[in-house]
Amino acid sequence: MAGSPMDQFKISTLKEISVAGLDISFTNSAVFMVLAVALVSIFLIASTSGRALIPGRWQSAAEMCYELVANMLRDNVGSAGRAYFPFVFTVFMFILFGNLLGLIPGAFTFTSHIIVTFALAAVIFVGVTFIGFARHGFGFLRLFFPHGAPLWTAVILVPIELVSYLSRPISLSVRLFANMVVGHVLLKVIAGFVVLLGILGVVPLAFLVGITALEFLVAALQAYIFTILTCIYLHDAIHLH
Amino acid sequence: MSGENDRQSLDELSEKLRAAKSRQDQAQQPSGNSSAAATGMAIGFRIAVEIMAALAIGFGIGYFLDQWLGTKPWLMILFFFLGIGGAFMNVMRVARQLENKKEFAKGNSPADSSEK
Repeated sequence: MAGSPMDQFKISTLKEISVAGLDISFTNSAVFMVLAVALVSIFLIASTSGRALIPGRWQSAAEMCYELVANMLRDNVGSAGRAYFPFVFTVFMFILFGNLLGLIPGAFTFTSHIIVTFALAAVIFVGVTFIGFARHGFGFLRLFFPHGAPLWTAVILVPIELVSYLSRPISLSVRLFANMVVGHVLLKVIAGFVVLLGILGVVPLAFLVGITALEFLVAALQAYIFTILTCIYLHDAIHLH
Repeated sequence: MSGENDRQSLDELSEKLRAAKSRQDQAQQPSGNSSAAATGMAIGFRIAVEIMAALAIGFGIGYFLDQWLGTKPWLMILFFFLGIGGAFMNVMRVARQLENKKEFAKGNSPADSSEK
């Protein structure tokens, strides 16, 4: 129990698989990814199978998730964004369930690994860039030059915009990863105090209750922020500014 | 079926809708207070990460171009400053977004302006 607070992020291989020299072993991280996908599917399919006109609790929850993402997409991208709803909704549910599953004691949080969040962010970044070029051709490059600025400023503005554009996948992935790691380490460290202080451990225990509640909020909020930034990037690709 | 009559009833309806919307907005306003600290933290964190990412990317591009072209410190220095510019750009963008959201909550709808 009383290990290092970083132990919870350790990846352990459950079944070694290697294809053409590539290590694609099934790890505890993969287990929770599969679990998240399965739970999202069960949650959405089971709750909407009734198709009640007046939704029950579960159907309401599923419809709330749907409406949250649909409204986000409509407010940020406009009607042109509707085509990308399935992707954005999938990303939102996957991250939300990943974050929430990690809050179960003993569970593994796959969003606490930079490579996982970076892979997600990279897919979004490449996809959005591809959509931009597909929609505007080379006109997409106008994104790197603010409309109406004098032409000679391009020398300095274009590299700055380029750096700013390339920093998107980094900021997107680091934000989610850092939030999850910080929260979980904090929980572990304070939980350690509870054991060490004996009877006085009630004080950090009370603190722990508050932080756990805050972590639930952070889990949902970070999934929300990740999704809304995806929407904003889509907006830039479709409308150029 | 006179157009005049329809117009009038539509105007009345939109008036009612606007009133209902503003009432709903006002009802929602105070409830957001409890999570204000967490959202504030999220905004602060977002800006910090935005600055860091732009600096890291600027530095990284400069470093690798230097390695590739053999112009040891110069491109790194140049791209570091471009990274600072990019960081400013990112922060400005976040601030503008938050401002837009605030306007949106007040009831002026800027959403239509983004539609083409």
